[in-house]
Amino acid sequence: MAEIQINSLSKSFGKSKVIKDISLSIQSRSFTVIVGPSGCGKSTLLRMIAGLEKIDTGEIKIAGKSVNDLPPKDREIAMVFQSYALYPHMTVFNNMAFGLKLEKKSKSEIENRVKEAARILQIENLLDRKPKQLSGGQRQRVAIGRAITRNPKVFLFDEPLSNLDAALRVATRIEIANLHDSMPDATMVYVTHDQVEAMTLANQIVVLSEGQIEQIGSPLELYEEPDNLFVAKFIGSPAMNIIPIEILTTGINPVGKINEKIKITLETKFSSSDKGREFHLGFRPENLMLAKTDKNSFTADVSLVESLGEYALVYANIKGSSSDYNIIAKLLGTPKISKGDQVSFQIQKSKMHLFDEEGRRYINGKKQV
Amino acid sequence: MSFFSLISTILVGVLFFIIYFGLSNFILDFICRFKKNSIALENSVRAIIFIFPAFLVLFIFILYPVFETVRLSFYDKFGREFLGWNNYLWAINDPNFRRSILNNLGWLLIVPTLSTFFGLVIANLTDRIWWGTIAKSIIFMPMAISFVGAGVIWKFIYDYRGTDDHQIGLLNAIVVSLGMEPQAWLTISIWNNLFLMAIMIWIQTGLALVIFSAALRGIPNETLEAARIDGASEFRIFWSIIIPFLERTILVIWTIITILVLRVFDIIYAMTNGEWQTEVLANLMYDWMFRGGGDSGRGSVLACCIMIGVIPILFWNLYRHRQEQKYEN
Ligand SMILES: Nc1ncnc2c1ncn2[C@@H]1O[C@H](COP(=O)(O)OP(=O)(O)OP(=O)(O)O)[C@@H](O)[C@H]1O
Ligand SMILES: [Mg+2]
Repeated sequence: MAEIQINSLSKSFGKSKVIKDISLSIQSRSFTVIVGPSGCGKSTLLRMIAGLEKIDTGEIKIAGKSVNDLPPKDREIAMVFQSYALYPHMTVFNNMAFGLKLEKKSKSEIENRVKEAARILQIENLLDRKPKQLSGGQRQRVAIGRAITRNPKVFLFDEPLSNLDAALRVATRIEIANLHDSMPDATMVYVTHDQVEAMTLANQIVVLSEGQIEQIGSPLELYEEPDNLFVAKFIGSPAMNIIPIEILTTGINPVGKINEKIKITLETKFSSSDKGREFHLGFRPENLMLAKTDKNSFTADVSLVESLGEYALVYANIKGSSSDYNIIAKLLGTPKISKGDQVSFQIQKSKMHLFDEEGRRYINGKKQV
Repeated sequence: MSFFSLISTILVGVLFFIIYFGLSNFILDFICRFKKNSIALENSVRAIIFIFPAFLVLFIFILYPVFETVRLSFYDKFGREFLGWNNYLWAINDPNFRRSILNNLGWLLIVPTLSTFFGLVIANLTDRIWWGTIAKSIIFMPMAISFVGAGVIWKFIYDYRGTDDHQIGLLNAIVVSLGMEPQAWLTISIWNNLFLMAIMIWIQTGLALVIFSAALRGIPNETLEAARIDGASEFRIFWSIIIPFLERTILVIWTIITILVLRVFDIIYAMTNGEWQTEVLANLMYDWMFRGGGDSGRGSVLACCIMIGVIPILFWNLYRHRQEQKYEN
């Protein structure tokens, strides 16, 4: 019961505008992940929700109440920092109990709550240690435990896993997912630049770029229907292939031209005025397959093959009218392709994405807003 | 000594050491060529060769004077006749000595504590305001002044003229403008000690401030923010997060100032010369050692007292250092 409502929020540091008129609503009990490239303002946005950063203009409401002028401690939030931010001279127990002590809770209640959080995170045997004596993963658990004990309405995570090694990151990610299941009343807001974390943890992903929201949606919506070129390139790994295409004919089975030789039948409905326009054709590496027929196929020169056993990444060049385009294909198994080959590819049916000159998704003759 | 004889002395000294190190290493190498399998021995001998000159200097200029002072403290004023514990008995019964011990204790309790306290608080406050750097520079400036120079400055603050005269002392000017009687501050015994300590605090706060400011930078911002989210007030953060974080720094500064204070001399020498019951051990020692013909026996007793005062602090520091190393390993 703690939805977060953000209304036309802006923030500048000196002359640089870091958050530009963001509006966003985060459902109660949801797990919202904010992703975006480094420096796009994710941390700043999270810190504004936490109350660590002043709001220039706009409003933030938590559970229906404006918190613009509330100090962090009165917002009923807890935050987990990338650097753990534990209190170095306190034991793990005291780290987790500090907030409760400040709330003047009784000794037995403090003890119960800390023990309970320690049990959930499996750090019961570490309670007497100092942060210095813990590994990175253990420290991060203590930091999460410190957040849990205070029983907040909203959890804020700022890249909590980025200081951990790959294996530990996966394990802790799963723990955080479990944590959300075990605390169904809490709203979680999670900042990361790792799209795997975003895709696996979130009910709702907010893609941020240069202080603006590019798209809000569920992980699959973002993957299958990116609103614009930025999201298309940002979500998915390897990134979506984007090549320019010129519309030759509209009507039924419209055709677009990549170069003089390669013409592709598109699935989008165009209006007749679209004839001759330049669009961006997007298709994911995993939606490319080796052509079985000549229809709608195109050839490309293979420049590199990375074979990973389960699948292979094929890097190839398409000769365009003015320049070459690099594409990547993700083919299952171990295809018999090697560097220098000419390979004929096909795009899977209904897996083409079309974006207009301004980079917006284009469906059925309409710009998506 | 002329310029050239100075240069040649230095040259001779440098040459001597080159020959010393070169020759002794050469001899060691030569011997070791015949004795294989003795690397450990060779290493320790080489270490001794290198440490020896430094140890010699240390011995001549520090250890020897220490022993000599202790020896002299058992002899008469000319250092000729052995008196046993008599000098010490004299000291214990001397009212000036007792006064000095008390004053020294006062200095030791008040000055390091207040300097450290002010340094810490000011470092914290100046971090939050835009003119903090300017404030810090101003507070640090007294560090650049010698104690005697500081004494001269503060003489003007405590200066006293007769009641009919114009008061040129800052403190009296203020007191008079408030309609009260001017005071001869430095003659009011017991209180005058505090007025003298104020000078030392004024100087040492700058030192504490600069070191604390640097140490404060070392506290990660996120830790403080986490505390803020946990609901800690600014005072609570200062008390529960910042002070424990700076514990080591606090101890170091406190020790530095304590040792400085134990030797306090110049300020009192310049301001009151130990009169009106402001003397401390160092001043008393100076008086006995060099004034009125000099009494090396009693002077040495006082010097020993100061030394004994420093020893516990040193040992305690050493102990802490060992503990920390043990903890880190
Ligand atoms: N305290 C500050 N003063 C001035 N500029 C700041 C401050 N904090 C952040 N910025 C700037 O604001 C922009 C956004 O910073 P922010 O930390 O929100 O990025 P981010 O999306 O979290 O990046 P990352 O993924 O690297 O953590 C950056 O360009 C940064 O330089
Ligand atoms: Mg960040």
